[in-house]
Amino acid sequence: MKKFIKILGLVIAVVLLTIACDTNPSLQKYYVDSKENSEFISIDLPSSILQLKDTEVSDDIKNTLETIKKVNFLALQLNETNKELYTSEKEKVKTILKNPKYKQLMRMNMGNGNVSVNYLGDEDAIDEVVIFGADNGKGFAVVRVIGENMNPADILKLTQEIKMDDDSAQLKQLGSLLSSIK
Amino acid sequence: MHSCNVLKTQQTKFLNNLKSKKMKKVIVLIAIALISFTNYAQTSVFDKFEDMDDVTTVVVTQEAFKMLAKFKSGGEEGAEYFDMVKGLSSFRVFTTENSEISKQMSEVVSNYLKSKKLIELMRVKDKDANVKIYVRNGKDDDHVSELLMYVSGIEKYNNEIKAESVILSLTGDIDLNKISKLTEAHIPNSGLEKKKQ
Repeated sequence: MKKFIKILGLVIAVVLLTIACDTNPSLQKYYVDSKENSEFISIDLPSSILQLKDTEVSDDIKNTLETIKKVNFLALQLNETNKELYTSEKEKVKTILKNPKYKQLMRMNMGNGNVSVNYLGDEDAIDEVVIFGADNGKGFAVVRVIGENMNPADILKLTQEIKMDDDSAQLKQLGSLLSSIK
Repeated sequence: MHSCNVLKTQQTKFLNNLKSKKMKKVIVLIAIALISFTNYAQTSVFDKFEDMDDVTTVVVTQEAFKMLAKFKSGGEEGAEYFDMVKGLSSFRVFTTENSEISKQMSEVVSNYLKSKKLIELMRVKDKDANVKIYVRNGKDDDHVSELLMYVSGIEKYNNEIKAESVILSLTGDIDLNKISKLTEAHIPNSGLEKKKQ
């Protein structure tokens, strides 16, 4: 009987351990890991770059703005030396996005490039929107819009009320990066 | 649903004819496996084209339609759109300029039409392009569960568009009356009436 309890204890311990250590690689972890890699370009945009045009708007709109936390931008630009890295990293992101918790909205495949739009959460309470685009001639980019219970219908309303903070250093960084790619 | 019942009666007939009980078991097992396989996820026979290099694909999933249906705005026509969009479960377009893949597409489409018993809704042929639209019966006469459009050979139609084949598949609960209303609003006299059998 003692032996049985021992075995049972061991089994429970193992089960708990496997539950605790989520083996699914998360995009967050991938993002943090890749940030340290100098091949990657990463930019964090805080939600403070989104500003209301008019300070006197309804509380609903203010609340909606608060549900957006930040935007992460991670890109790998393709050059002569990192072709292999590009292929392997692209596969990594694809595998992460195959996890059913990332609900896919749409995908496009244009032969040498593809784009997919995915999200985490519920359809009226989104926690994260992930846009992944790859072009076999240029590289790939992952854009994550991170928030808390973002409601797409409310955000649509919000877009008419906000303006970008043009003085933001991060936004300038992104702008110069985008123009360098083109 | 109807075709499902037909299948079931055929299956039971088939099973009654079988003398060996073991065989029955095996067949039931296979049937269960097949049924669960067909219900699994939202895959389509055309999905294999997605991985081909010369094919341009656009796929919109049910999640997107569910989300779109939440945007309730835009007057009466907007409401019509959202009502229609709510029932959709997938939208796929495959386009290719590669003649080899075009051939494969044509084969897959004709096999698909046979196996799923799709009805031809309309067919337009001019000297350069061949457009065929098929539907799969839905819950009643006004609803279809799938709308399939197959276009072949539009390469000579316009020098800029060189696509040789296009497959467009729309699945879900599609109300033909709503579609015809919406298309009528944009293109007069294009009323898409379902062919009476």
